[in-house]
Amino acid sequence: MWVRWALSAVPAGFPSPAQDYDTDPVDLVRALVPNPAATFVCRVSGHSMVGAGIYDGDELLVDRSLPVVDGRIVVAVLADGEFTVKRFRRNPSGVVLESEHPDYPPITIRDSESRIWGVVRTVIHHV
Amino acid sequence: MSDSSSRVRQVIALVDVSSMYVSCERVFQPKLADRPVVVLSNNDGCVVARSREAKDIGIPMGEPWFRVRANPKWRSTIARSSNYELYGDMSARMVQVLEGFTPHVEVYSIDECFLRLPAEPGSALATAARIWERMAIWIGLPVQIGIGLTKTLAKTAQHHAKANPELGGRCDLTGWAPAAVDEVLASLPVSDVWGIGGRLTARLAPLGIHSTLDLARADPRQMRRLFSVVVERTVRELRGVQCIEFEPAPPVRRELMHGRMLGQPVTSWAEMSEVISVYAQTAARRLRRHRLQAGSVTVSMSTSPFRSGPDRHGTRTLALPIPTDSPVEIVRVALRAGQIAYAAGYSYIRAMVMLTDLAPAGSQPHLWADPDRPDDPIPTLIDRINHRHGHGLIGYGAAGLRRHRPWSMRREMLSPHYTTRWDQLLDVTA
Repeated sequence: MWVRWALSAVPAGFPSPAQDYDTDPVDLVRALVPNPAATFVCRVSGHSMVGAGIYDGDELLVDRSLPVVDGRIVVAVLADGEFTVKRFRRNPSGVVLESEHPDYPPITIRDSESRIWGVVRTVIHHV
Repeated sequence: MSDSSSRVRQVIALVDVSSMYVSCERVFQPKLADRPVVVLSNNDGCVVARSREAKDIGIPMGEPWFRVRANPKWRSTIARSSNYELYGDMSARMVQVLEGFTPHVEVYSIDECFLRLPAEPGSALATAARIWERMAIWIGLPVQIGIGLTKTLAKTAQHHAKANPELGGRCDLTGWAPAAVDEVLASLPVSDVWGIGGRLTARLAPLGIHSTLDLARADPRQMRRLFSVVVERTVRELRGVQCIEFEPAPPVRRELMHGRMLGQPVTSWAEMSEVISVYAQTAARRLRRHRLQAGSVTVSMSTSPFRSGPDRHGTRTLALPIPTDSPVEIVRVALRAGQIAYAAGYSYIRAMVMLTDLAPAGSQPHLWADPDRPDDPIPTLIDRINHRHGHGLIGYGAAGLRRHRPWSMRREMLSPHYTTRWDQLLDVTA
């Protein structure tokens, strides 16, 4: 992908000193994957997170180095070994994995630290 | 016995992933946790990796899968075919994580790296704790980290960490009193020492050398006389003197090889010559991809140590008349070497073609080479056709036949290539 950026208005007759530095093409991987060693790509099946803009067939960029914080969308492992994508909620009574769809109830989990596989950084949705 | 010199600036750490292949599978299949799991060699032949649970129920390393499957004691065992693409990718991630701690990283194997760390008291152990944590969280792989004044001692420390889980996966011998280090060395059999295999262990026993400590106390010069300079170096390393080089930058390729376990035993020269022809072409293709030429070809083949029947390991090296990257020449010489190495009456299960004496392609034309002879266009053409239409579509001789040969790889219990194929990504349910 080649995109040229004009960094500043360029007066006629005087070249911008930044001209030499804007010729690299946009590097998608560099922009979206700051920590390649800890980033894994997953594919979504299902509809429980449409309210968050995550649809069936989308890809997720999951970064295992991000801190698991209340409100973030995460990939978690359920008791039967299934991987699920949900919103992580920590409140005084414990940890809950919420869906973003009225038909899907929240899941209460114990021992949350070992259950969270990674934090979702980016969703790739193909239109 | 170790040298506690305070002038030491750096120590060596060995980071080793526990049961690497199994651990990689478990990252993407958490249901495999806490269960006996084995990973099988090429063609689903033998156990090449075991989880701790599989080890605990007595499955030996190298046990043929058909025997594991049939044994009622081992009924609960889950097997996976080797997923080299996955393990290689996870290993590359490990190296990236380690490089985040220090630039001095030497990749020793797919699951082991040596690091050089500063020798300030407590610093290396603290770093090891952070490495352990980052490997577990960022990649999901459990490691043991051993720290010592030398590579051999780092390996020893890693063994000790592995045998003593209460150490939390790390052990820094450089921080220990010499008497405590001696105790660790005394507790480890000499066969556990890096570079000391079964045969050397047997030859050391009559000399009264049974433990690692015994070996550390041996006279280095006597060891050199009786065995080799390698053993002498090992003794000195156990005493804290660095003899084995730290090589962070991969050396210029010294050799290039292609070898595999065969799907079914090969018992005739007709079959073996096909194998050699295909392997030689694969090696030649990689040679061309790296823009190198080779000066000699080594062919070797061996029988299975697990099947009954006589053992045979045949090997032969022949020089190429002119250093070359031509598949025709390399196959021709490989077949001749193979013919010399081959002996009838054995059941071979492994073969390898290795190209050595590597130099950049086109360098130092041979004295008798004809400078006016045009470059042979055929090898390049074959590479291009294969690249566009599928690996192995055409080739010289037997390699040109795409039919499935009984000795090519069987992988029936293969996990998806979660990290290397877009169409095999980890599935997550929303």
